[in-house]
Amino acid sequence: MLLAMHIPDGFLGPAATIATWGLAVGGVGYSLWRLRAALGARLAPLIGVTSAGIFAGQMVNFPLVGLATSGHLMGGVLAAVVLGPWGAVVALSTVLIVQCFMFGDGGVTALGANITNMALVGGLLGYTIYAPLRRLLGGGTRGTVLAAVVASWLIIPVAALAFVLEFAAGGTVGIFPLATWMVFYHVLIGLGEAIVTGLVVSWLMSTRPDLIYDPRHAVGRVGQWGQAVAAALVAAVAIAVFLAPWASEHEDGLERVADSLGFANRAEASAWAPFPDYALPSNNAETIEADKSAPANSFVPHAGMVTSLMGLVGTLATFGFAVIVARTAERRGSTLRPDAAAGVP
Amino acid sequence: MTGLHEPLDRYSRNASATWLHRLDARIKLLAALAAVVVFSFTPPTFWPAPAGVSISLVHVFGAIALCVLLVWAGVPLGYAVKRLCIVVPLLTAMALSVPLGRGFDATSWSMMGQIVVRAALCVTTLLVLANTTSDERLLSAMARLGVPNLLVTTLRFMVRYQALVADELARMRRARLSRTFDARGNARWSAVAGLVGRVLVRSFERSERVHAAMLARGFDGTIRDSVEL
Repeated sequence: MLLAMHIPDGFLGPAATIATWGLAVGGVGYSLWRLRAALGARLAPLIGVTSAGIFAGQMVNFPLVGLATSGHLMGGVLAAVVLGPWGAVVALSTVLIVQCFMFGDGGVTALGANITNMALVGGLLGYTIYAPLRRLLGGGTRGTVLAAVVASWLIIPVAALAFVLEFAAGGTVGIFPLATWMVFYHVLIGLGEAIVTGLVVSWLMSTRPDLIYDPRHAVGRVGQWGQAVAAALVAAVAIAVFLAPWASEHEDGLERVADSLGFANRAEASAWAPFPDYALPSNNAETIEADKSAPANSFVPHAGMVTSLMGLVGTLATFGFAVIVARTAERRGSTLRPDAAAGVP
Repeated sequence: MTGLHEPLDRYSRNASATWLHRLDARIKLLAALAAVVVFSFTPPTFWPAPAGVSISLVHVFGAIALCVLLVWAGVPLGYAVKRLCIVVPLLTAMALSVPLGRGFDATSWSMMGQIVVRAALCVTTLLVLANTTSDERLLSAMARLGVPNLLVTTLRFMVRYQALVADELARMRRARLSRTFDARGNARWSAVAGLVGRVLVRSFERSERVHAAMLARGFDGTIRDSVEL
């Protein structure tokens, strides 16, 4: 449920297209290599048929809280919970390639960006949040569900931020105004993803707990270094998600100052930008740097304190919310027969 | 969103229907990729259209060429228009990123319009490709153009079982509706979760059965096709 649909063609500039295609080819290639070592000849049938299941799962609509419309699952963390990080990357990429060429959903030049946002950020980065958190919480039903809920919520606004970066790399729009909208919207949208992922994982734990991917039984587990990197990533992700809206307000202020001081006119469009005839938005690095010395800096310490506080409150709120969801999910899982919920005879 | 979940290839079943259907799938795939790249990255200043419309003539002639190809491929224009009617509102909603990112002024609207035109042309290009080339031939073309065989084999399984699993989901949904009416409130969420979980478990179990059946037939991990392109 990242966006209305996947990124179509024509949205990204050449630089973002080449960079994301490079990331996608590298990421999928490396994942295939790791998977082949672990699965051998099982790889294609296992990942291929399970991808069909993920694709079908993405078609199930669920009601959005407080909105008249309905959303559907992106499923990055869910795929990683079942298939592990490398399996999730290949499965989600498979879904995206088929959607692109056979369903016309998502662009061909944007396929690299879609794979980056949904398979690499949604699946792989989602897993690096989920796995250490799950270990930290001691595993079990509660730990697994809680970790999946937190990871799947955080990863939605992060994927949206990745889209903003790619879109802004073309030089047509500024990062910060768009990031404000996108992060705010996707923090809300991510709630739905988190609730459904948590419920599905708790359902899996009560039905087929053996299907939950466990690195202890898999080839090539994440070592101490991997844990340290993942912990740092969790911190970075939390900061990125919860500071972006406030940080952007701050930048908007700077932008206005830049406009009034006439810095905006100095910016030049790059020759490679798809819209070279339009002026670049004013908030590029140069103008912001130049503005640091402007009168605006008198409120910087205060604003910094507020943003840190907000970040802390946001992170704590995440955990509080996750605990509540995990508890209710657990209760429901024990009282309701899963087969009755699915309506399967 | 339901419209997007219908495959594009309704008119590709008869492999020898028109000369476009019979054309080597590799040529069609490469031509479509080239067209998409050109549509996506041609700036409006390159060969600009007259009369103050800020769009390149490449896009105008591209649209005409695509209409001709649709007619040659025997794809009814009504079908293409219907498909675009589903896609264009979604494209427009996504293209709102432009005014959201740089302010609601005339330049933003014009840039947004260009993005929608580019994206719609690329969607139509893929519509022509998918409706003249069957999935198997498209995948074989990818394999012979250098996409790793392991990835193409995984894609083959996905394509082969995607409709089957989607049917299974529809049956499960129907079974639930016929037994419990429509769940409301909190029960609806757990019903959705059960549906998604069951689909995942079933496709995973199916993959194990498929793998065992293929091993019994001498499967070694990749499929070597004999499709004529």
